[in-house]
Amino acid sequence: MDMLAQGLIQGVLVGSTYGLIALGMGLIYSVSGVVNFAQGDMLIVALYVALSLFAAFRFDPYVSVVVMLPIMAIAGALLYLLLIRRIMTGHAFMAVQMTLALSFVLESSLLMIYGGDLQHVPSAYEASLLILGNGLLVVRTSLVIAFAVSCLLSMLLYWMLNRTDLGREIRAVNQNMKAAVLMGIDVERVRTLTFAAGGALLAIAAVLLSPGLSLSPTAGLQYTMLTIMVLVLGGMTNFFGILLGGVIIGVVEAMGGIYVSGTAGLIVPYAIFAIFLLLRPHGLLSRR
Amino acid sequence: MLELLGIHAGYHGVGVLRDVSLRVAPKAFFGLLGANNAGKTTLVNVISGAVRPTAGAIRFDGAEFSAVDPREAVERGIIQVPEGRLLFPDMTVLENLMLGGLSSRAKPRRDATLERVFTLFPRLRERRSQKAGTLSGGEQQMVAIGRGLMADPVLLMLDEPSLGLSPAAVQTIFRVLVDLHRSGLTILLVEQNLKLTLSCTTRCAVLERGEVVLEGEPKQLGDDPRTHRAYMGL
Ligand SMILES: Nc1ncnc2c1ncn2[C@@H]1O[C@H](COP(=O)(O)OP(=O)(O)OP(=O)(O)O)[C@@H](O)[C@H]1O
Ligand SMILES: [Mg+2]
Repeated sequence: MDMLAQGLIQGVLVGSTYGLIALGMGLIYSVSGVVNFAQGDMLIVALYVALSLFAAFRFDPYVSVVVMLPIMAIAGALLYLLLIRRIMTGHAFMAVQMTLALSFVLESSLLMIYGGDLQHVPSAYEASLLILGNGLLVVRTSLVIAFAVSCLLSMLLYWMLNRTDLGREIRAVNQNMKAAVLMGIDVERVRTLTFAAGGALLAIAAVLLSPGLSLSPTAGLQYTMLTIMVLVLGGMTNFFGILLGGVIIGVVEAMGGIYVSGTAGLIVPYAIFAIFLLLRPHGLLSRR
Repeated sequence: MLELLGIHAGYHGVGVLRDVSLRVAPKAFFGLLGANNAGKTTLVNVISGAVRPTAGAIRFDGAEFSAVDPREAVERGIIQVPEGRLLFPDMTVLENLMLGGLSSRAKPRRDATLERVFTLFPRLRERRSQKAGTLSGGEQQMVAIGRGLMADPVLLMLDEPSLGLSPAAVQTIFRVLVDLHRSGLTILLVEQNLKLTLSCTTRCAVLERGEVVLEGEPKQLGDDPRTHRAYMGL
């Protein structure tokens, strides 16, 4: 029972950050129709940037985020301006090819620069624990921080999408691109800013996930797959669906790790996801 | 106000408009008639900057003007209420309207313009928090026109606003158009509804297979058998 509760809570806490990453990917998808297969690798790049910032300046990741945020935002914008923009009107597979290629380029570059050994980003909070209910529940402080920040950012994002002109423009481009153009909306600007926001969210997610994480240059695609699962579960553009999808995948992952031994445990989220797709092909919160 | 000089346009090398020349005078209520596929929507999109002409010139407010993208047209005060309305269906009426007023031309006066739109269409005030996609056809057309007005236009173009609406809804909408014209707005109305168009416009043209075949006062055109012939596509 204890272990179940522990797993559940850990899953919810980590899952909120998965939700955040998927919201970034979902935003990008909503204005461009492109699923970014390099999203996970960009997350890993952000983590290595954090590692380098620690190596060079002894910056804690919670501090480095100030530097990483603009770097990743610019990376996101450049992804759109240099690559996606040119191919997004073509066949959908072109974007898949392009972002997958980027994924491999990033992965190989990281391998060349940092080598293949597992590393980790030192952080003040990596060993810190929160003990609740007289020892009934023990959680890592970093996970609680990740959960709080993810919730806060999601709310901020929700507010931005619903209450600001840019947010309305993003939704307009998603709902009726032709009308958005005719109303004089600068679609290029909206897309660039949305990709930048997707990148910025990765910088924050990287910092939130970093304490205690074993870092390998080849982990990117796995995060991409995880994020795509969250996105599909959530229904691609449904804000709350995506958050919920993140939490579910987080919980399933944690449970798989506890109850199914070894490598088989890693399969659990994918298996659950496959079953889920058969039952609700349009996402968790769809009415269809 | 608006002058088209020998406009040619098409898609992927296939010509649609051939040598179209038109003059819409300031404060005119100009009706553009034509059967299906005559090229009416293409013409409106050329003026909006959404379709690039292959030849010809556009003059707006006396100066040479060729919008290479609709943003420019909107900034100059040219807006279209598109065929089929093209609302943002999952957004509220209010959000749809706000999205019409984003240009630097319209934004400073956005709240005042919104008030004006609500006065013109009291229905929209009642429905402001409802999702646009759940409105009736007539109400959706009101939103589309309201969204266009939010751009604070000098020239309002409407592409078949009566399409698929009940007679009562058509009446409501055309009454508002006539009011807008009286208050000094220049209107370019694209329609298939001959009688309706002739009854409210100050000048009309008939487009047939991409060419202007007739132009004149509504009364003149109404009496001309060629109008009816072109119109039936015979
Ligand atoms: N985006 C497009 N790509 C290719 N051809 C097009 C496109 N839009 C219109 N056409 C073609 O151009 C011609 C004129 O179309 P247009 O929509 O301008 O006519 P219309 O007078 O508005 O017709 P309707 O009364 O049906 O709205 C048609 O033959 C149509 O098939
Ligand atoms: Mg048309």
